[in-house]
Amino acid sequence: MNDPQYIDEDEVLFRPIYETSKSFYILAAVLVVLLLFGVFMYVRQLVYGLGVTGMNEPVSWGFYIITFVFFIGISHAGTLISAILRLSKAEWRRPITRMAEVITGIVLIIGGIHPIIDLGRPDRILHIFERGRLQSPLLWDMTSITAYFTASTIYLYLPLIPDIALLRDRGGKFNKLYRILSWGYQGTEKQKHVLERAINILMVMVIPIAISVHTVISWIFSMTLQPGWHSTIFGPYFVVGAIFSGIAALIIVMIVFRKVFHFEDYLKQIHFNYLGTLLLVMSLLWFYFTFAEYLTTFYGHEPTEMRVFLYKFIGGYYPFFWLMVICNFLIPLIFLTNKKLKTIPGILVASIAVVIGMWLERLIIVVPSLANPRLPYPTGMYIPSLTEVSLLVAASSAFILGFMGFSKLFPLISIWEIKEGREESVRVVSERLNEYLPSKGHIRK
Amino acid sequence: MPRYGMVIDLNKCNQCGACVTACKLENNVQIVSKENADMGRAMYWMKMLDINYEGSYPEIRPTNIPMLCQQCDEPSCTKVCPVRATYKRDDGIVAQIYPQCIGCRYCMANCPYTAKVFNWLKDEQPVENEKCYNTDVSVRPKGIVEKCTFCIHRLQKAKENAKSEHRKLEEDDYIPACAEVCPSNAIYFGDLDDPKSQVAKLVHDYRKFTLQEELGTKPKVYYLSAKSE
Amino acid sequence: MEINRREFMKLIGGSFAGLAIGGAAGTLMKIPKSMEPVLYTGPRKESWKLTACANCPGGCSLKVRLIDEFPIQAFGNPLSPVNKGGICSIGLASVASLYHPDRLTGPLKNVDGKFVSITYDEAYKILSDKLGKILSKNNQDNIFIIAQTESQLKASIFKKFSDETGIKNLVLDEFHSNSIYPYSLISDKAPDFIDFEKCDYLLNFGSRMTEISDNPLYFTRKIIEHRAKGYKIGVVQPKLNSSVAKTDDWVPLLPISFADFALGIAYILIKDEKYDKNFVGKYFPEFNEYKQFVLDNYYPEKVEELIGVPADKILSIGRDFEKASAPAAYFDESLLYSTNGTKNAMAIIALNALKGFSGYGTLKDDLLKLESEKNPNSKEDVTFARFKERVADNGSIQALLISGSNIVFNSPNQEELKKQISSIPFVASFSSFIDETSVLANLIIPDHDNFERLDLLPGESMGFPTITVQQPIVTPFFNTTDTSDVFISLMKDLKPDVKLTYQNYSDYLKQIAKQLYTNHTGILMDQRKPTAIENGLKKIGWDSSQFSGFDDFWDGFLEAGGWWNPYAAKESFNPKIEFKQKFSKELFTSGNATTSVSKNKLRMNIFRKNFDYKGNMSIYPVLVEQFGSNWTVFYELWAEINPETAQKLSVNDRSKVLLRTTSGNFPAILIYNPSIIPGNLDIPFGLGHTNFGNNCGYNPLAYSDDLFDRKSGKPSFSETIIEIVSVEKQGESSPLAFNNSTDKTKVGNQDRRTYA
Repeated sequence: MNDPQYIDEDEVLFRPIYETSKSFYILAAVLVVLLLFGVFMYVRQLVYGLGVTGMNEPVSWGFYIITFVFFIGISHAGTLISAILRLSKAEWRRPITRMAEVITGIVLIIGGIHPIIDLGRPDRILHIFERGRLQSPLLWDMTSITAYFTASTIYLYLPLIPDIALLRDRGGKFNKLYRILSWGYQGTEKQKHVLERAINILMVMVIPIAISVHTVISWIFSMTLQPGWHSTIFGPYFVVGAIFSGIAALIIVMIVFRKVFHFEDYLKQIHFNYLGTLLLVMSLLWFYFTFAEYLTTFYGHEPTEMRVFLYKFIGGYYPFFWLMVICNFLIPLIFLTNKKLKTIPGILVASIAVVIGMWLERLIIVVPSLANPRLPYPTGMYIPSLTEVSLLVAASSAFILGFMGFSKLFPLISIWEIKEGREESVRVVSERLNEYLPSKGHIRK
Repeated sequence: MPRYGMVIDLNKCNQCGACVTACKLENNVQIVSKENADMGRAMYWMKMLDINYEGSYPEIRPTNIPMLCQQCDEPSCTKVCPVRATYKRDDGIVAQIYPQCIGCRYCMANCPYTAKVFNWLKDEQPVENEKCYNTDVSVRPKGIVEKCTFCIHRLQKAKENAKSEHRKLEEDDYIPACAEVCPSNAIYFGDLDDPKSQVAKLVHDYRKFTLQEELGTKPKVYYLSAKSE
Repeated sequence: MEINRREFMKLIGGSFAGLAIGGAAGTLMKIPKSMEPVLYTGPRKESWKLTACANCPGGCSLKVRLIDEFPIQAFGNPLSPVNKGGICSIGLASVASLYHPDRLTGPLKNVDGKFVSITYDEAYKILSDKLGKILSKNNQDNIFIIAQTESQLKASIFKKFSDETGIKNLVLDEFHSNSIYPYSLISDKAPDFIDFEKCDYLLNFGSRMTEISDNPLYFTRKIIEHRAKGYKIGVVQPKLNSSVAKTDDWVPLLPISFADFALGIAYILIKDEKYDKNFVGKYFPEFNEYKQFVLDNYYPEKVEELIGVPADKILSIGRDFEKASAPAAYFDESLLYSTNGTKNAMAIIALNALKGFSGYGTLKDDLLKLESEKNPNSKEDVTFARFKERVADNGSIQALLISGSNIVFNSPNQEELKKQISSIPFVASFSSFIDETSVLANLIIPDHDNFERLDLLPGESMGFPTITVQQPIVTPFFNTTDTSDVFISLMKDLKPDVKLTYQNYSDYLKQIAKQLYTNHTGILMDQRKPTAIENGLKKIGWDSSQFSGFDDFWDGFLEAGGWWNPYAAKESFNPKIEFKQKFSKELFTSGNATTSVSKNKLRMNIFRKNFDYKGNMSIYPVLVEQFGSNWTVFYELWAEINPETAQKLSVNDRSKVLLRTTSGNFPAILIYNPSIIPGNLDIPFGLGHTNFGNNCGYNPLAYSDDLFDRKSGKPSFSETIIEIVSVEKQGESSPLAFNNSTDKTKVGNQDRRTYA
């Protein structure tokens, strides 16, 4: 390990795998406790029934579905962003893509479990395969999430192979695991070529799948007749929201790991500037969609729609609604347009605000519509119980734990891509630039 | 094939609530504890909705409406069920298959009439009520959705009876509990496609309306009401 | 979230198992214990039996469904002319009482505050010894019997008992239903029925005809038919309940003001000279005094001043009444529930007299020759007022027998009454439960459940006589005894010289039924109504339903569940109107018409819901749950208030409030209801049992002032002053406060055209 032969130029990227601090264990222990408490509460729910939650009639969906939509939304961070950046050959993507893809993988598992947690009879889950009806949006949902999960895990795994090979070559712990996972990758020209081709195919494939996932999730709501849900705009609205929250989550993760694992050299202000700008764009886009959605509702003034509308604006859910607007629009706008505030802490504040705001947005979408059904009797109120809150906490802990576990197994920043960038990028980019920049003094004859 | 439907004459209904009790007892609907009832989990397949008051004091009259599953011809609940636990039968009844339900509550979210109820918990039932359970109807476990089925078990029984007597099913053979007990005979039930049946005549009454006609769910529960009342 | 120990253990176990999810799935799939007996035992053989519902005097015939000989459900018998297949919530729920875990399984003796099980013979011996001792000292007057029963025949046994033993103090506590008592104050007889064939205007004073009356199901149907014919119905009622819902005119008025309103109507009739001069001349000897009194004091403006009903409303109802050829001003016992109770009764009977009782009818022949005649003049009725007087006089009552009545729960000033009753040396109760009253007893000999008892429930309120049989559809589950049998044996033992023609109650019933058989009139309830031709043939002896003998008839009678005579002879009702203590202006002017209401002081109007009018609903879990379900208030007391009144007091809809009367404080949920009389706080009666059944809520009567009608002793339900002490939890007040009335109207608009 300490053999100088192994000291790499990117040694700092390997370090988290081999060195574990005490605070890591403490944090992990706390998170495991939280997670186990969530599991305990879930078992309790299994024993007593869904009555231990705060859901009722008519608010028959609550935190679980909100968290589900929220996490699936976050998952867009990753794969979609990394695929788009890769596709557009943005060179600054190199230190970002890995983390983005990891977010997707972890979050999809957590999010995907939530509908099952929400089931009254999880023991009958196999009925979906046995007697599933493809006419039900829930089935579309399941299909697309599974597809997305498969695609994005492979998409995470393929660019990981060269790094695993590096780890394998370094020897040390988990060598057997690395040996299996690296598939004998030696970095030969042919292997490189095949790998790049596979990545290229996947990144094109993953974009439509990712968009379909969130569109389909939005359809769970918009296919119903409920006021406030039955809207054509929901597909793109959800996708925009998903990318929005995804970027915010990505920024948070990046900033945290930059600080913890000292990646300052790799994740620089410029990365955050670019991502911040992207976040700002998404914020504006989100606002545009929100504005369009509510303006049409208000202008149409249909009574049932208006009850939901008023419930959000001035009724029982007004604190959440306006907090959402502040978090998703005002704070990003202030922090990301002002040069003085657009520092890394500033961007972190904006990102945290957006993550909270997007969670609130899912809440604002799910609950008020259910609380104000078309036939106004009965109307409802939703207050989550300890079970739901602890499961939300457990889900968040699982997310962090997942990341922590990953960081102990694999590098969080794609080492080979960094190396490749360092070795080739300047050349490739200048070549590329030369290709499309007009040559000096060129005069058409 | 018959198409069963119901007509409720609101001009006759005086909100005594017998239909609600009858439904609850006939279908072994769970009695929930106070804590759960306060959370809005009281389980009624048929409920007496306090819609409104008409006029102002003292010239004021209540406008209540007995509300049950509207047994839509174009049900929005069956569309979204992922496992076909709710479906429309050939005779028009929107039925539930309790052993198949996974408890996702999507049908509840999509019912514009909020007519479905969910077994949130299994509260301890009073002994005296358990002893009086209707043996024709299963007691639903926790975690599944249920709703009015037009007392479908009565149809089954009536069919068997008719078969054993070598005759066809007649109109009076099958009638849900709420319609049977209504003291003011405000609830009519029968085959909407049979021109001789009373319901088929009543649905052409000028007072007829259905709830939320604009949604196109085509409920088979019709209400009769004249404004002059 | 509270977790008790058992739950906790279950949880611990569950979570260990649950870590391997399979364990939890196991508990999910396990069949609940409660279902095992339902699933695994018995051949599930179904049978149907007929009986009568004895929860109210209506006499509805019940079709009871039995599985393996155990009753599980009750429905209305479609062949019964009384309910024609309909049935109310109480009838539907009534089977549950049979299986109630709190039911007494045998006689109990109170030993030092604890109930000890004893045999029936022991219990009977204690009872007869005690009574014998008191009677031997000629202290009959120190024994009181309080009985509440829906069965006239059972009541006649009590009357017979009181006649034979000389125990004059028989209080028939008809808390729940109609009775002839009001008529007994003023006239020589009571009408049998409203003649809906003639009657073209019905003015209902406070009777909850479709819910709590002589025959709720019949009236429910009749009111619909009556209005379909184009006749009007006016109602004077303190609350917009389901008896008012389908009527034309509603005069919101508390029972305390009924008399003034009735006299106001009488003024119009007299002034317009539209009264039945013939009838008045013949049967109303004190008419002139009455006329002068009305003309002097009850012109519409004066009445408006007195009771707040607009003069033109009085005028329009008065005109409706006088225009009608056969109007009926209907009332029942409910109007006695006020300090002006007797005054109300007299004023309304006098109002009917002005129109010659033309809306009423009576049966020509008495249906049954009962042991004790029902003629109200035959005997001075002992009222509850007398009991109250005597029980307050400490030590003057030596023994008290209570059958079927839960007087403690049904009276105001309960703590005092409890003390007084416990100070009586010997209290015997015949209750099936240890309720608020029987807990004070020295001896309890539980009665059968309604499904274990044989009885006949005669009815005349439909214009023809009906008798519904209440028969034992199961053999008594426990060691219970029919109270009538106890009284018959007591009669025999205490007065050996009394010659009784029957050995026990069922013998007596058979004798009654024999009259039907020998009269050869009427038909069993198992057939359609015969045509007039068939009936004519029958009259001359061509009876298609021949019975070989009385036993055959009796069997058929039980099987059909009842008997009726659709062609009974009727006549118009012509009572003699005589004010008992002479026409007294004093009595008429007694009682202040309206209690003053100020900003904080509201009037408490206790109302009875149709799910519970005897105060015994708490044994039916379904009804308790449904009690407040249309306000979505569950297992809790609520108070309805007019939104305007509430806004003046600045309390929101669905606030949790603490209410105060002179007797104490109790919490309730405030509900906005625009149909409530301003200044009123309407509180339901029925919750708040402390000794049996479901103990949720509070009993408002316990907090009511001890006001009662001086003559009948009925407690006043609507004269207590109540105030809102504090708002414990304000309801939603945002512009979108849900379930409040403003929102309702907003929402209602879209469907306004559709909901009538």
